[in-house]
Amino acid sequence: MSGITKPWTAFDPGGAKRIPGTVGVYEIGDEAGKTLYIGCAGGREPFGLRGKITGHFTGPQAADGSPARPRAYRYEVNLQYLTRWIELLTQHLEAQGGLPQWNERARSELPRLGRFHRAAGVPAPSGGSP
Amino acid sequence: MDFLMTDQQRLIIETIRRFVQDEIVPLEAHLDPDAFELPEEEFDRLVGMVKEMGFWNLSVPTEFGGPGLDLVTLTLAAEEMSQHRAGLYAPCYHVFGHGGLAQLYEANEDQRQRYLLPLIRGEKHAFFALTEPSGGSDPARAIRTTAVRDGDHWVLNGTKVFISGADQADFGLVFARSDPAQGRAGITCFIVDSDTPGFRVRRIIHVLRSTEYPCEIEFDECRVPECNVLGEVNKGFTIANDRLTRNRIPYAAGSIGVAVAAQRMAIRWAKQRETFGDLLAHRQAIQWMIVDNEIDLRTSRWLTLEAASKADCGEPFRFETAMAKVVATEAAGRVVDRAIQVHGGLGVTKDLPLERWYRELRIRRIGEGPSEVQRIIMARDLLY
Ligand SMILES: Cc1cc2nc3c(=O)[nH]c(=O)nc-3n(C[C@H](O)[C@H](O)[C@H](O)COP(=O)(O)OP(=O)(O)OC[C@H]3O[C@@H](n4cnc5c(N)ncnc54)[C@H](O)[C@@H]3O)c2cc1C
Repeated sequence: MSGITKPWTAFDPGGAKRIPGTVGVYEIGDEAGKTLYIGCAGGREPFGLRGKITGHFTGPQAADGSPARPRAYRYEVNLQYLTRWIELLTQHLEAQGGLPQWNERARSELPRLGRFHRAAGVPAPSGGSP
Repeated sequence: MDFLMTDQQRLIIETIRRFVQDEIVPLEAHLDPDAFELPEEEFDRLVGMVKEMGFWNLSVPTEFGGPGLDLVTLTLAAEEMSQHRAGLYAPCYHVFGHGGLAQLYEANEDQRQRYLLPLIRGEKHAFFALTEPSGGSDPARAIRTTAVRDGDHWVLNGTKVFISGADQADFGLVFARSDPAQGRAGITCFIVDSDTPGFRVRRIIHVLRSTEYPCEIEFDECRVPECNVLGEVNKGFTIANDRLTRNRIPYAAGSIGVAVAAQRMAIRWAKQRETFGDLLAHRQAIQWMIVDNEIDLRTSRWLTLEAASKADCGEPFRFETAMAKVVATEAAGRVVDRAIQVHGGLGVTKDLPLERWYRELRIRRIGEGPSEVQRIIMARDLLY
């Protein structure tokens, strides 16, 4: 599967109410459309994707003074949220040579990642989201 | 046949039972309901405990440093180890050790040092690659991946699907067709390092379980040295088959284990939940579900122990194993299904482990040789 292909949605508290409360995966992006964080709303999340995504814009991470400001989000409702999360993180790691900035800072919460191998002769994609 | 447990078996079983209840189940209350691994510090702590108990690598034969337990004891242990939320595919989150891929017990001394022993010590991870897009039920005919000798190397080309844990592995056992003119006598098993040029993990295949999810892998002019042939050239299928048959016994036992846990939950709930002014336990419809569960459990356990016992005695056990695998995996699905019914809406929530077992047990009727293939094995014995 490819990465999350939906377009980014700029966060606004009113619109966030329409984010589903289900399990799934999501990305938080900055102004330039760079992925700052790849997350997962698991089975113990009280308000699923809605709670997790909203938390990034209203919680302490948004106000921690880091230069990267969250501006937008995109998500995917997915019952296989753990394996899809691993897939998105691995794709990002291999395409960009590292994890998104916020995931790097929260390494301890990450699942064990595997690796994919790029096809011979296919160069690593440069820039942009996976 | 006498299945009274020996004192040693009883001690092992009771110790594992206490370990699951005291150490594993409480941890799961804080993990995601689909979690398949423990936080590192918890994993290390529990492995330490297990080693102190002398239970590390229970399934490993003595010649490789394990206790060399018989299959009946391992079957009883497998039934206990799976009695928690992740237990079907991550029994006790592998803190009792992985045991390694049994096929590697065929390794020569050099391969043992490079692959088997690091695997048993938990330093390396491995995958097992038999199934291809052309089919997994009849791999002897279906395998299209080719292996062509070139000097002191073999060149592998082809695709494998549903290969569990391939993206996390350091190496894998890969079955390829080395003699196109032969059927099962033309397949060789190769040990392939994951960093070999030409080997590629293409993608994750998302399925009903999160534990050791399967991947699609590819071999493109992948050169494997002759010294990485496991066993003899063109004898790979026998290695795969013999060990797969044996593995089906603890596989059946693991299915029974989660069904035992589901039955325990159903009984507890039936004794405390009231509807229409009385306990569920007093309703005949519920009683029959509980009784049918018990019939399924005991039949499965008896057949699985019979297969293990025959294997331990050195008697043919392929027929018994096929029957145990079919009965245990199908029965466990029914037991969990009924346990969900007894719990009503609560049964399908992620608050309880039942929904995870229900999903994951479905795979058990397909993996390690589907039910139909096991029936074919039995029919051949009965009719040919
Ligand atoms: C989650 C998961 C993990 C797996 N992990 C691994 C792994 O690590 N390594 C590996 O090598 N494989 C693995 N497998 C593959 C598994 O072993 C195969 O899926 C299985 O052997 C069946 O093969 P198939 O899917 O190609 O079905 P097919 O062979 O195409 O069969 C399709 C259906 O037809 C039935 N059928 C076949 N022949 C007959 C017949 N003669 N009469 C009646 N019915 C018949 C089968 O039972 C099956 O139900 C995994 C599969 C899953 C789902």
